[in-house]
Order: sequence, then C-alpha cells, then structure tokens
Amino acid sequence: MRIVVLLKAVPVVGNEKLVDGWRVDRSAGLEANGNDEYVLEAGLKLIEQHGGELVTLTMCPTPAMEAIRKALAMGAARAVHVQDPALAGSDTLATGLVLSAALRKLEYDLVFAGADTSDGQGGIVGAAVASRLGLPYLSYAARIEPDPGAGTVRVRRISATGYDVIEAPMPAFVAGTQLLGEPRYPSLRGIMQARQKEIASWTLADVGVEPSSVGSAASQTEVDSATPPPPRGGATVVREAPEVAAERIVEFLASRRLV
Amino acid sequence: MSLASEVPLYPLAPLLFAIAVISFVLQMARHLRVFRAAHPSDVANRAGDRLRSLLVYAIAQVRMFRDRRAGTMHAAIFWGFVLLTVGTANRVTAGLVEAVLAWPLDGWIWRIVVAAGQLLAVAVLVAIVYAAFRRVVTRPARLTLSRDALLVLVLIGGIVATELVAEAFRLARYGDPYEAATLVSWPLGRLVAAPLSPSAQQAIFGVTWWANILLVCAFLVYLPGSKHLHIATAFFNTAFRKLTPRGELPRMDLESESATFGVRTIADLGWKDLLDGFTCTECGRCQSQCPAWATGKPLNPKTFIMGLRQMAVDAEQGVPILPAMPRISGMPRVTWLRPSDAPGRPTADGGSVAVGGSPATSVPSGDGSASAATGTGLVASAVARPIVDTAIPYDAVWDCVTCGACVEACPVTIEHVDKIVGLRRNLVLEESRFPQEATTAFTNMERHGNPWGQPRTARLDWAKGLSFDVPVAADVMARGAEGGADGSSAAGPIDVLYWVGCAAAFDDRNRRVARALVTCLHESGVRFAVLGQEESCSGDPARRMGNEYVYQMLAQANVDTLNRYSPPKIVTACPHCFNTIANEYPQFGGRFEVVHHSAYLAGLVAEGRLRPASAARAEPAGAEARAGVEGGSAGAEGGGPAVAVATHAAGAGDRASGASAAASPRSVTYHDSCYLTRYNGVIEQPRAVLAAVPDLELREMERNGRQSFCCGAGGGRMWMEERRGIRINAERTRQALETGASTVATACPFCLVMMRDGVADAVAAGAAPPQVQTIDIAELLASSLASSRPPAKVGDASPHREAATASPEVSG
Repeated sequence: MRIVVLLKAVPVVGNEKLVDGWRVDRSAGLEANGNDEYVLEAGLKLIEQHGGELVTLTMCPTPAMEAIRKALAMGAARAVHVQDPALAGSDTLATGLVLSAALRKLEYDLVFAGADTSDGQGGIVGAAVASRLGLPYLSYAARIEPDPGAGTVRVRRISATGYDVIEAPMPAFVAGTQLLGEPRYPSLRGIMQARQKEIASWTLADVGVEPSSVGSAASQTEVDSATPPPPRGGATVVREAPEVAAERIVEFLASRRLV
Repeated sequence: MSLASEVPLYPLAPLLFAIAVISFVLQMARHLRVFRAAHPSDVANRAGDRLRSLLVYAIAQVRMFRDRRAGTMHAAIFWGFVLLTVGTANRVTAGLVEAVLAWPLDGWIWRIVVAAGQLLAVAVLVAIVYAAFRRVVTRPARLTLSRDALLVLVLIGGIVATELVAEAFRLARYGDPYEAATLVSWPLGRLVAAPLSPSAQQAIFGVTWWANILLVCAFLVYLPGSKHLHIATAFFNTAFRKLTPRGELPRMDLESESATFGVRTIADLGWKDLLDGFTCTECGRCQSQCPAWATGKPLNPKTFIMGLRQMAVDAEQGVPILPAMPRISGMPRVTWLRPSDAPGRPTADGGSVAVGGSPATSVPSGDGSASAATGTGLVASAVARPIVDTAIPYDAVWDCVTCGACVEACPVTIEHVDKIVGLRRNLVLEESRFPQEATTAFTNMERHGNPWGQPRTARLDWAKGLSFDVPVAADVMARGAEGGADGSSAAGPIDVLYWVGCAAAFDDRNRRVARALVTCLHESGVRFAVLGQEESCSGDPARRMGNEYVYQMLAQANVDTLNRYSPPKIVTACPHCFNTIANEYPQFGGRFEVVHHSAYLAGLVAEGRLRPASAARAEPAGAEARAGVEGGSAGAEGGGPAVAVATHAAGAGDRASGASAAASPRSVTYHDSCYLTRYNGVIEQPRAVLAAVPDLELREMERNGRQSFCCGAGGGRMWMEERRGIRINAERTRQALETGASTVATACPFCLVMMRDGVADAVAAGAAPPQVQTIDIAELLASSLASSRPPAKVGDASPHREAATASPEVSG
C-alpha cells in the first residue's frame, strides 16, 4: 500500500503572527499541522498493518524541517517538499494546483490530508486536489479501512447526526479528523533514523507549474483586511467549593441563555 | 588447647569447613559472572569517601538506628556474629586463633575476646528471639514472613546456642586455662554439666560441638542463595555507593546509535545495580517510606530490587558451578528463596490491591540448555528479558514520584530511583510507551519551553501590576554596557538572578509566590534580575519522566543562556529547578551557585535586611471578597493599601476569630519538599524563615525533614493522572491536618499546588475547617514586612480550586 500524506507546516499554535498586515509569518517555529498528524498516524498504522510505504508531501515557501523531521521520526519513509520562493502568498486554489501537480509525480493508492489547517482553516485544499486529480473524495473520516484485495477503501464519515459509512475505489483521497486517534510521540530511535531519510526538495519547475500561476499575484482571493482577535479578557474565575461552584456556573450560563 | 584430642573425628571438621568455604566461593563467583554481562560501574575513585561510607553505613550502621529497637537488635546480632566468627575460626584451625591471640599480654586479649563473645552470644540469642517475635507475632508491615528469614534466624540461633552449650560441657569435662573468662558457659557448665558423668559430659560435648560445626557449614553453603547474603555484600555496597549528588541523574549519550537508550534488561544496568539486588535484605524500610506504596499503588521499591536480584539469579543458571565443567543436565537449580506476598494495602474503595512487583517467574528449565549458546554461559533468554513487567510492573514504573524516600531509608545504600528513571528512559526513548498525558507535557516543553504550554511571551505576566519594576537580565546588561561607556554605574551588576521557573511564571497560584518573593528582594534592596522570555523549563520534569532528549535540549539552551550572563548567584523558589541547575547542569558545562529562596530569604532576615513586623494584626477580611464569581484573576491583584493587603492575606486564616486573633499565634505546619530535604539537605532554612515571621507557631508533622512524605508531584507526576490507589496529596494533607495547624506552609510550587488541592478536597469532604490555608514561606514573610511600599498581594485564604488553573492535576 502506498500512502501520501499532505503535511502542512504551520506556525506554532498560540504563537501565530501576521506580517505585511495580513500574511502569516512563516519565518520561524513551524510545526506540523495538528489535523495532518492525525491522518499521518492513521496512515502509519495502515502501513504497519498492510505493509508498503508512506510519503509526506509538503508545500511551503520556507524551510519546514521541524515539521517534516517529526513526520519522518514518527515513521514516514521519506518526504517531498515543494519549496519555491514564488509560492509565497498562494491561495487555496494555487495550493491545490501545486499539490496535485506534485502528486502526479508520486505513486499512491491513498492520499490523506487533515480536515483543515490551524492557520488558514479553509478546509478546501483537499477537495481541490481531489477534483483536479479526479479522485474520489472522502471527507471527515473518523476511521479509514482500505481493502487492498478488493481495491477499495471504506471510511466512517462524521455527520451532524452520527456517521456515514462510505466506500470508494482506490486510488482515493481521504480527509481525516481528530477522531482517527492520538498521534504517536516519536521515539529517540525514530528521531535518529529520520536523519538518514530522504527529503526531496522540488521546485515549481520540478513539478511543472508556471511560477506566474501561483503566489499572491496569481491568487483568486484577495484579503481586504486582517485583524488579530481582541485579547481575551474578563475571564470568570469560580473559586467556590464544587457544589456551589457548579451552581454559579449554571447561573452564569443561564444568564447568557446558553443552557 | 587440645581440640584435636577432645573432639571425636576432629580432622573431619576443618575438612568439612573447607568444603563449605569452597562452595561459598564458587556460588559467589557464579553471582559475579552476571556482573560481567552488566555495564561497568565507576567505583574506582574517592577512596577516602568510600572507606568513610563503609564505616558509617556498614560498621556503625547509622541508618539502622532510625528504628531504634530494630537497630539495637541488629547491632547485637552483627557484633555477636563478628566475635562468633573468631570462635569458629579457632575451632576449625585446631586452636590456632587462640594460640596467636593468647600469646601477648599474658592472654588478656584472648580473655577479653572470649568474655565479649560470651556476652554477645547471649545478646544474639535475645535478639534472635525478638526478631522471630517481630516476624511471627507483631509483624510490622514492611517485613515479609519468609521461609528464608526464619531459616536464617534458626541457623544463627542454633550456631550460638550450640556454641554456648558445647563450651559448657567442654569446660566441665576438660577445663580450660581461660575458663574464668567464659562468662556464660562456665557457670552453665557448673550448673548443668557438673552433675553428669564424664562420659555423658563428653558425649553431649561431642554432639553439640559437631552440631555447631555442621550448622556453620550449612550456613556457609546456604548463604549465597539467601537474602542474608548482605552480611558479605553490604560492605561492598556501602563502599561503592553513589557519591555524586543524589539529585544528579547520570548523563546519557544520545548520539550513540548502537547503544540501548536507558535500561531495558539487567545487562543495561551497571554491576553495582546488580550488587544492590544481592545486598537487599528485604527489611522493607524502603517500602514503609514509599508514598506510592502507602497510597495503594503497585509500586513497591523492595520487590523491585528483589525482582532484579531474581533476574540476575535466573540469568546465572546456565553457568556451571565449577568453572569449565560441563553442566550436568537435570542438576537441580538453585532457586532464590522468595517471600510470600506481602499483604495488600487499603485502597480508596476500601478494597485491597494485589502486591505488585512480585519477583520474576522462574526460568523454564528448558532455557538452561539453550543458554550455553551465549559466550558467557548465562541464560540468554533471561539476560534479554525486559525488566519492566518482570521485576516491576509497567504501571509501577510510572507511579514513582522520585522522592527518594526509599534511597534515604535503605540501610545498605541501595539506589532505587536512578534505576526507575533508567527504565523510563528506555520506555520513552525506545518504545514511546508512557501514560498518554505525558505526551502533552513533553510536547509543551519541546515547543513552548514550559510544561503548561503557555506562550513564551507570557513569561513575565506575573510581574504586571507590581509597584516596582522587575528588571530583565538582558536590559540590565545592555544598560550596564551603556553605563560603563559613560562612566556611570546606575544599573550596575546584579547581586542575584531570580530563576522564576515555569510554575511561578504560568500557574495563577504560584504567580503570587513570585510576586511575594520579588517584594522581599525589592524591600531588602537586593539588586536582582530575571531572564524573562529567555528562561525555559529547567527540564527536570522531562528528565525524571525519562525524556532525556527533551531534557538535554532544554538544559543545554538554559546553560548557554545562563553562561551568557554568568550571574554571581541564582535564587529560585522551585526545588526542582534548584536541584537540576545546581546538580545536573554541570554535566552540560553550567556551573552556577544556586540557592533556594528559603535559604536566601533566611539570609536576608539574618542580615537584618528584611524586618518582619507583626503578621497577625488581623483585620476583618475587607473589600476583596474572594469568594464567588470575580472578574479575572489579574484584576484582583491590583494592590491596595499596603498593610491592609498584607494583613488581609496573612490574617485571612483567622477570619473566623476576628480581631482577637492578634493575641494568639497562628499555628503552621511545614511540608518539606523532597528535592530540598533528601536531595539537597535544605531543612533548617525554610524553618528559619518561618521562625522569623512573628506570631507563628510551628507544628511539625511526624514525617518531616529527611523523612518527609512527598506531595505526589515529583518525578513528573505533576503531569500525569493519578489513577491508582488513593491520591498521594490527600494522604499528605491528612498528615498535615493531623497537626491541627491552620496553615500549611510549603517551599515548592508543586507542593503548593498539591497541598492546596488536598486541603480543598479535605474541606469539601468536611475533613478540614474551611479556614485552613496553604501558603509559600515567601508569602508568609512578605506579608509580615512592615513596609512603606505596597507589597504584592499575597496569600490565598481560599482553599477552593481555581477553575482557571490549567494544571492537569486539578481534576474532579
């Protein structure tokens, strides 16, 4: 089984900064996107079960070594990093274009991605990639069960009322959620082995995408303005004994018509 | 002396004894073969300290006397046994020892030896009876009633009794030039033996004399397979003990690709660790002091060490008892005698838990033949067996709070904690097997530099709203450089760097301790600075949870930062930071003078730079109602009139009694932090701070000082759920409340959180009066300062939990 996991390097949650008014600062301290780690874990478990190889694919204008190294330390066989200064400012459509172009150069039965990312939170890159490649798109997966013999994959998809079980022929694209399970903590042995693993660095030319079709100039979306959220204030601290505290909290919620 | 003529078949005695000695040596040599499979232990240093250690622990047996009765009993047996050995040596050498010792000073040396031996023999008999009585009748929980223990008592008792009787009948039958020195046997002989006929005297003498020699030989043959082996190994174990600071864990080489990370099998231990196993006498002092065991968890330090010994014994079964002799198949295997399971202990639900850490299961007999394959002759499968779930259950490895109570208690200087951390290292670094919650702490330390997962930028938030500035080292340095340029030294160098620590930086409750501490520093005119955003977690929790990788990353970064400023002195309120910076950073090139805030504050008081005034001028709790829903913790820390705030905090415990409380002293009990007392000997300084605060009456808990009982947060347990047994902080809170004190004082941020939660639970359960408060010694001191400047708001009279606290130990 060959699995490609789309792995985005995002600013450390809680430390996000904007530059130039609206652009996410990617100059330092990038980590693997949380949702991507859940699908990575699910993929690693499938490889352990069925054999095969898991490759991560990252697109990022700046080096994203920490995020990629961690994925390799967790057990990914190798990594591909599409890195090109021209990528800066790309919107979701451009990102989908580049990732699908890179995927055309890779072999896979399944492509995994997190449901969304902690910086952009668009949640549509996966669908864009799947439609460009003509892959079945299985979203909000809480469980992923491929059947290599039958050449199909079955996914438990979370819906508002419960879950749906959907099935598609492979190759297919699966967007996963936190419900797939906690990602493993890389062992030191894994960290050391990761140093020997291949990180292929591809440019736009390598994947056959014109620099003019990506980046902020080519983006279809335009950011009018960006405002950081107001600092959290007025936190309400309940310091009562449990029984009284519970009462206070209920009162508080009731006063806001939340219960 | 004519033993040869008096004793029938005498020549057989030395021969038999020689065979017993050879058996002893061969069995010991076989034990040592396992040591060769283990890592080297560095003991070839500090000969003077090692000799002193041997004298203090093995000869003077200082730790045995902490249990005075057991210690006296043990000393009687020890010294009795030493003199007994002289008598035995004399018997198996046909009187050679007597001939030598009786030669100078007209035989007085021999007289004294004989007389002392006789008296001590009686003392041994009394002690043996007492020991048996303890094991069989009173049964202290720490002792296990085993066949081994009883057999050893019977052997010793038998040897001593037969010696006394044989000597009595010999003197009656043959007489002796030194019979007057035979203080017990001579009168005994006159009383019992004299009426009998010479042939009867001779017969009884012969029988008892031979019984004595046979028992001695049996003892020698039996000893290497018994827990009683400590009489041989304790000397070595105490001499080879860890001499580096107790709080310094060994540094790991993380770059070596071939090595096993941490400890997985007995081959990953040092041979001194295996010697620990062969020195354990199963006295259970470690078990009786262990907070995990006391609260119903599967960790038992005693059975862990016994389990290691069993693993070593299992491994040596493939080694022929005679070197270079083919192993005879079907030859019975020596099995280390095991005690029956210790009784279960009460748990929260009133049930009892099974005893964990029971020693290894025996090696299947089939293994023996397969063993020969390894070059060492050891049983390969036994050497390769993981220690976890053989000598110690997996859960127990994570139950350890690394408080070191076991290490402190062990009379023969066995090291438990370092081994457990070694096991954790292997589980974390090689297998990624650890309690799920630890992942969050590891990730937070790695990404954010603190286990709380708070952004670095919030590191100085605790200092907001103070009436004075808290200088940051980088600014002081920059100003100093400017000052040096233009000749003024307005900023000047600093006296001390305050290492704030993550708890004081991010935990709401402990932020108030930081504010109190800097208030004291500011009041006394100390020039101090903090690192601010340059500070990271010291790494102590990571290291003690076995994550040496994250620890070394944090430690190296901190050492580099600190070296850049090279502060003349570092003060910290966190005993964990204190221990790791003082004792472990030297491994990474960081040598700093570190003092705990208790010592630093005690010094300021002693120098008269801090003048505590009345602490208990209680005023009715004022406008700052802390109960109920209030707007934000930061908002409540606004300051207010200096004295009112101070007395409000300090006097809050006396709210019930109102203004009259000023007259009666406030009772306080002090909870010792493990990493202060046992690891670093800081015992008196926090008490000195308390003594400086007026109107405080200190009430000690039974477990205090070096015998302190952990709060439950050490060893990274702060970051793990406590699911097994009752909660350790609940037990410690019970002990604190037993003193009847209205205030529980601490000197450690983690102890403070744990005790606060324990008290809150006790109050909620109706087990404690609601006015009991938990407070750091710095807060008590700051609140007693007569000051013109408004000090930080300190103290926390409310025992209730702060819902906003992010610490994971706060749970329902």
